[in-house]
Amino acid sequence: MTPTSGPARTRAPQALRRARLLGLVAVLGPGLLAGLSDDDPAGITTYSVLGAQFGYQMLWVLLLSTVALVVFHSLAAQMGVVTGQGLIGLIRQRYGVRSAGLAITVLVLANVGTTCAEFAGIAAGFELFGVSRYVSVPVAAVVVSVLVLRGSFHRVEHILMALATVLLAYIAAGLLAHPDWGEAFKGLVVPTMPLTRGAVLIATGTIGTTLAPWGLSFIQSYAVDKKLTPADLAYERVDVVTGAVLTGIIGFFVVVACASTLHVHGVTISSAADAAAALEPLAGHLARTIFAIGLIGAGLLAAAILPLSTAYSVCEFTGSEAALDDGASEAWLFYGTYVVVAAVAVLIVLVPGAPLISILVLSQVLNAVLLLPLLAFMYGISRDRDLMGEFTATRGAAAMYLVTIAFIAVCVAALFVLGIA
Amino acid sequence: MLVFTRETGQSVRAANGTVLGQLRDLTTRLGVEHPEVHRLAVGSRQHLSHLLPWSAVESFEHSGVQLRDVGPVDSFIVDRGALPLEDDELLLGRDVLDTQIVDVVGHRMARVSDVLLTRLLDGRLEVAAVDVGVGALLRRLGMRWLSERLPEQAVDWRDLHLTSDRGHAIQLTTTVAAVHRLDAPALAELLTRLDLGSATDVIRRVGPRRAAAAVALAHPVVAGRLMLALHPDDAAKVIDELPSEFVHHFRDMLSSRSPLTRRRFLRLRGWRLHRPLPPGAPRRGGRGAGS
Repeated sequence: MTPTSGPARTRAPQALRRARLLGLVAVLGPGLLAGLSDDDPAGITTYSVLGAQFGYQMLWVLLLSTVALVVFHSLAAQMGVVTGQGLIGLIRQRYGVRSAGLAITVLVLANVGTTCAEFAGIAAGFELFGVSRYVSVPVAAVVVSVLVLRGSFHRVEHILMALATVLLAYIAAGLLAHPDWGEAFKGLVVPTMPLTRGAVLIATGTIGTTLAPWGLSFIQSYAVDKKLTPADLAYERVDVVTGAVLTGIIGFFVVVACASTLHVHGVTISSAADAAAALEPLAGHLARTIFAIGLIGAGLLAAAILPLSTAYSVCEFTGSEAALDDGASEAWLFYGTYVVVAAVAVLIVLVPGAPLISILVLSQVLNAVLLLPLLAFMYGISRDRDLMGEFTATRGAAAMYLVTIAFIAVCVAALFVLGIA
Repeated sequence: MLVFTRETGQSVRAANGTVLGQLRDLTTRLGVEHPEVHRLAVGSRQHLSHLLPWSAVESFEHSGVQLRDVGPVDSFIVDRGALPLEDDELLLGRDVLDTQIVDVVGHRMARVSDVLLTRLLDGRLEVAAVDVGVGALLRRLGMRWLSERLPEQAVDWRDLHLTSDRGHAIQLTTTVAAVHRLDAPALAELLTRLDLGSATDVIRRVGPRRAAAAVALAHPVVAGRLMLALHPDDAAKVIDELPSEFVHHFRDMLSSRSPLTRRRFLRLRGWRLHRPLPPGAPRRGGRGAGS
C-alpha cells in the first residue's frame, strides 16, 4: 500500500469534517430555521405578557404548550406525508363537506386574527422607530404581497429570518438579568396559577400562540408540498421537533427575561416599549431598537406565510389547484383569498386607536378556542386505518392526543366560566 | 343525469315492504370505460349492513329504492369490519366523492364535489362523470341560491385518474383506465400532480420506455424527485430509455446523493407545481424536493 502523502492526509479529515457538517446541517438546519421563523410577534408579545404579569409561576403552561406543539406538529407532518393531502382536504375526504366547511371557517377566522397580530407587530415595531402605523402597515402589506404573489418572497426570506434572529437576544437578556433559576424551574414543573380571568386569559393565549391553527395546517401542507415519502418521515420529524423545541426555548427565555426585569418591578405591558424594556439588561438603551427590528423581521415573515397558508387551505377545501407558479387568472381563488385575508387584517389594525398589544394577545386567545375542533378532526384522522395505514395512531399516542385536547378544552372552558371580556 | 349525493340517504325497502336501511353508497367495477353501478351499500350513518346487487333493484327513484324478491336479504349482510368488495370494485362515496382526482385532459388536480350518473334504457345506472365545481360543493353545503349561479364542471369518467388508495390501485390494474393511454406530455402532467408513491407506481406500471418519455418532458425538479424516489433498479431501467442528454445528469444525480438533497431551507420556496416545461425551454438540473 502506498503511504498517504502529507497534504492528502490533511485533506481527508477536512473532507470528513465537511461531510459531517453537511450531515448536521441537513438534519438540523430546516428545523432550526423553522423554529426561528415560528416565533412571531404574537408569540413574543404573549410570552412577554405572561412573564411580566405572572413572573415564573406559569412557565408550566409554556412547557405543556410546547409538548402539545411537538405532539400535534409531528402528527400533522405524518398525516401530510402518509396521505399526501393537507389538513382541510383530508377533513373533507374523511368527514365530508359540512365538517370541512366548519374547519375552513374556523381556520380562516383564526388566521385572519393572527394575521392582524402580525401586522400589529409590524406596526408596533415601526412605532418604536417613530413611524406611524398608517404608513408602515400598508407599505409592509403591499411589499410583502407583491413579493409573495410574484413568487419571489423566498429571495428575501433569509434576510427577514436574520432580522428575526435578533429576538434570540432574549436568551442572553434572560441570562444577564440574573433570574431566580430555582423559581423558574419550580414554575416550569409545578402547575399553579391564580384562578383569575387574567391568568386564564394569558394561559389560553399562550396555548393559542404556541399551537396555533395556522401552524397545524401549514406544517401539514408544507410536508405535502415537499412530496416526501414515508421513508423521509424520520427527517421530517427532526425538522418538526427541532423547530417546536426551539420555539419553546425562545419562549422560555422571553418569559424569564420579562419575569426578572418587568415583573419584579411591577411593570405591566401596555405598549411595545414596555415589552422592549425586558431586553435592557443585555442591550441597555439599544433594547428598543433590537426589539423593534426583531418584531418587524418576524412580523414580515409571518405576514407572508399566514395569508398564503390560508389561501392554500381554502383551495384545498374547494379542490382548486393552487400554486405560486400559476397566474392570477388561473388561480383566482388562491390569490383572491391571499389578498382578502391580508386586506382585512390591515384594515383592522388601522382602525384609529386600535390597541396593538390587546390585538396581539386576544387573537391568540381566539386561536386556542378555535383549535379545539381542528384537533378533534386530527385525532379522528390519526385513528383512521383506511387513511393512515401502518401509521395509524396507537392507543398510547391516541391517549396523548386526547389528554392534550382535554387540557386545552379545560382552559377554554375556564375562560368562558370566568368571562372572556 | 342523476347526482350521487342527491340519491343517497333514501330508504331501501325489501320486497315485503320492510325498510332495510338507508342507501349509503354505491359500488362500481372499473373494468370498462363507463362502468355501471354494481351494488348498493345499505345501512345506517354509523355502519353498512348490506351489499345488494343491482339485479335486486326493482325501482331506483329519488323517493326511495324498492327491491324485488331475490330470496332472503340476510344473505347480503356484510361484516362491520371488512366489506367483501371485488378486486376491481370501489365505493363511489368512500373512494371517489370528496377525494382528489387528476383531470388528465384538463391537466389539473381537483376534488370531487359530486358523481354524475346516467340512467340507461334498461334502468341501470352508469357512472358518467364527476363534478369538480364549486357550485356542487356549495349545493351540498345548503347554499343552493349561490350554487345555481355557478356552472357545473364535469370531468368525464374516462378522463380522470383517481388518487384515493383504492381508486389509484384499481386504475393501474384495469386496462381501460386513462393512465394506460396517455401520451408522454399528458403522463408528465399526471406525474407532476401525484404524490411520489403513486407517481412511482405509475412509472413502474407504464414501463421504462413510456416513463422515460414522460420524465424527459417533466420539470427538472419533478424529474429529479421521481428518479430519487424510484428503486435503483427501476431508475436504471428508465435512465437506459432516456434521451442521451439526460442520461449523464440522472446517473450523476443518483450516484452522488448529497445529505442536503431533499432538504428545504426556505419555507416560502414551496407551493409551486413545477409544470412540465414547454418544448424548447432551457432545462436546468433539479435536485429534488428541496429545490
